[in-house]
Amino acid sequence: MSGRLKYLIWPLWIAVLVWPFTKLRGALIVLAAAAAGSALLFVLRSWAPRIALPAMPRLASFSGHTKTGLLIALVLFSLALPLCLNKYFLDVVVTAGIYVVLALGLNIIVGLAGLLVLGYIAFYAVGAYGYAILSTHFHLNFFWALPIGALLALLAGLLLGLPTLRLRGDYLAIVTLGFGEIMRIVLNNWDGLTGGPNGIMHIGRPAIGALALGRPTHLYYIVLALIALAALLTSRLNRSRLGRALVAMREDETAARACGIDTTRLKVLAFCLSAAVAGLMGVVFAAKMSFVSPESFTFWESVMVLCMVVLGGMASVPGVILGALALIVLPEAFRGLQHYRMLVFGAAMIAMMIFRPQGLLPSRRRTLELGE
Amino acid sequence: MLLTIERIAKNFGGLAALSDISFGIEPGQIFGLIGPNGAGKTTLFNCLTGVYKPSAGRFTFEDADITGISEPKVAQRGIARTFQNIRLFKEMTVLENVMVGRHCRTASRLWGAITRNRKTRDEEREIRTKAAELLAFVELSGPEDHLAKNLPYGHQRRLEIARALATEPSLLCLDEPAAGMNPQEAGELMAMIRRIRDRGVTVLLIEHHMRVVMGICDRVAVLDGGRLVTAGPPDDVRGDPRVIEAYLGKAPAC
Ligand SMILES: Nc1ncnc2c1ncn2[C@@H]1O[C@H](COP(=O)(O)OP(=O)(O)OP(=O)(O)O)[C@@H](O)[C@H]1O
Ligand SMILES: [Mg+2]
Repeated sequence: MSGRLKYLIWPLWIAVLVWPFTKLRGALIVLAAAAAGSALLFVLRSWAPRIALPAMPRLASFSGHTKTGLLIALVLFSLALPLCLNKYFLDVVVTAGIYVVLALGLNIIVGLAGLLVLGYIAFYAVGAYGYAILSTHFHLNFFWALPIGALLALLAGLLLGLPTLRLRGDYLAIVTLGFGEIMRIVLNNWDGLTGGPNGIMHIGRPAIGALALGRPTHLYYIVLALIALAALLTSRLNRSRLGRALVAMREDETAARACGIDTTRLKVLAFCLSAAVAGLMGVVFAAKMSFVSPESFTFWESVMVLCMVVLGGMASVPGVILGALALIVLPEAFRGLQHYRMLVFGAAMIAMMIFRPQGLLPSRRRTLELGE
Repeated sequence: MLLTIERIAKNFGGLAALSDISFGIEPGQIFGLIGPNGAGKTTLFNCLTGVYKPSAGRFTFEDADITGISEPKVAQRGIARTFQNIRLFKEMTVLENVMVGRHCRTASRLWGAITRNRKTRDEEREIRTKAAELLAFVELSGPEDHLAKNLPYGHQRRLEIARALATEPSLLCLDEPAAGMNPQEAGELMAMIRRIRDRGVTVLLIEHHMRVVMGICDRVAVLDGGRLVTAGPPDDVRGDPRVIEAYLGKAPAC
């Protein structure tokens, strides 16, 4: 949407969207509120661009020293965080952390390779149920289960990716969407193995020998380590020959192939990597909850992770992390609003797409584009 | 012969876009491929580079049969191409575009990418140096860090050539590289094509402007309606009445 029109249309759109839920009066209130917000934004943008624009920092514009400083501060902050949070908020943060890694994983296939995957959570389920079954039947240790869960999900990805990724276009989106639903239905109905709707209980918590590591603080540090690992590896991937090939494929598949890039293999690789990350985090999730059921693996979860990638800024590692945190922690803050939470969520997504389509912290390439 | 084209045919449903095309290209030549709109020039490129599978016939390149192999394998073998409607990686920088061209001449894989070991770092440096060299060669050193899509049109064409050269081809196929350029730009481009040939790269050039082709090419093949009208040295082709009928008659502007 271009120019000033979007400031007018956006509030109207939101109002129409909420109408069915809020009746006319509610819709008018929403319209008034959104219009006021929009007007404020418009005034800020046009009269004081200097105030409005730096609201979102651009990582690329910081110098090397500032970046190192920020990074050290961030590390210290995350290490100290459990000391100043109560149990409830620590739990929220751990959940957010799991989603951060999930989003970083999905970012490989969606952000870098540019392929839409709609049933990502199915691979998360593979990891979670894999660990649940192995733990309850064979008392498999959590730390062994991490690579095994990743491997199981990777194999599922391979099975799904090999036939579909040969095709061009959006087949992958549809196939993964179907896979996600099939997975949920299988989990719901294969009572013997998955416990059906009741799920599986008494899953082992993380432990090394006799040393139990199942307390929220322990989980926090486990997840933190995984975030650091995922962030490091994906940003390295991002700036490698393989990462360039992925982005090239996203930009123009025909030209990428003419440069000697075997796009089929590359897609399968990216897809399997994404799936493996989901499988890994599935294990963590199962260990954290000590209980899994099909309810945790709905289509909505897939959409959430996808939104994190898009909201944060496709292909940008800090952006995706921020997007994931924003989508988990903010709704927590709006818990009092009950189901209006989803409304706020939807409105925020729409507003983002209109006013900052490149995401919160866009990748360097996109920053370059918009800086000019 | 560097490339031998034997009895190539391509049908799209009932339409015979190419039928019974045969000619050969010697190493070190600038070989022109001309013909009116819809003659099948781009289709021949697409068959050669693996975008389409030819319906019949054979391509022999450096003594190996390459008919119907995939696009990445064609690039690996040493045939690079540009596209009639420029295809750049728009959201990547100018330098990165050329770096992607190095893909088929480099080897680092996932393990190298995540461990960033010595071999990978060295290779990455080499990719960067070579890409920068090629940008200098096509006179695009200034805007290295700009996004490809922000380059002016003529520069985009040159960037596409640099990216193709980055694959270290022995045969470079250019699909109307001078389209949309003014006479001065086109003149500079032709000088560049000569320099490319002088680097030891054979050039197969699709071109619309008869004058341009005649000035620069060692040999010329003329297509019309999917058939080969004639092939030979420019002077012979220019005088051929069949060419005048098929080509010049339909394009009086040239
Ligand atoms: N993918 C396709 N499917 C069906 N028909 C096609 C396809 N590609 C090309 N054609 C047809 O084949 C014929 C040759 O097209 P081609 O693009 O090779 O011509 P050209 O010589 O490159 O012309 P121009 O100078 O306009 O680029 C045209 O009639 C075109 O419509
Ligand atoms: Mg053409």
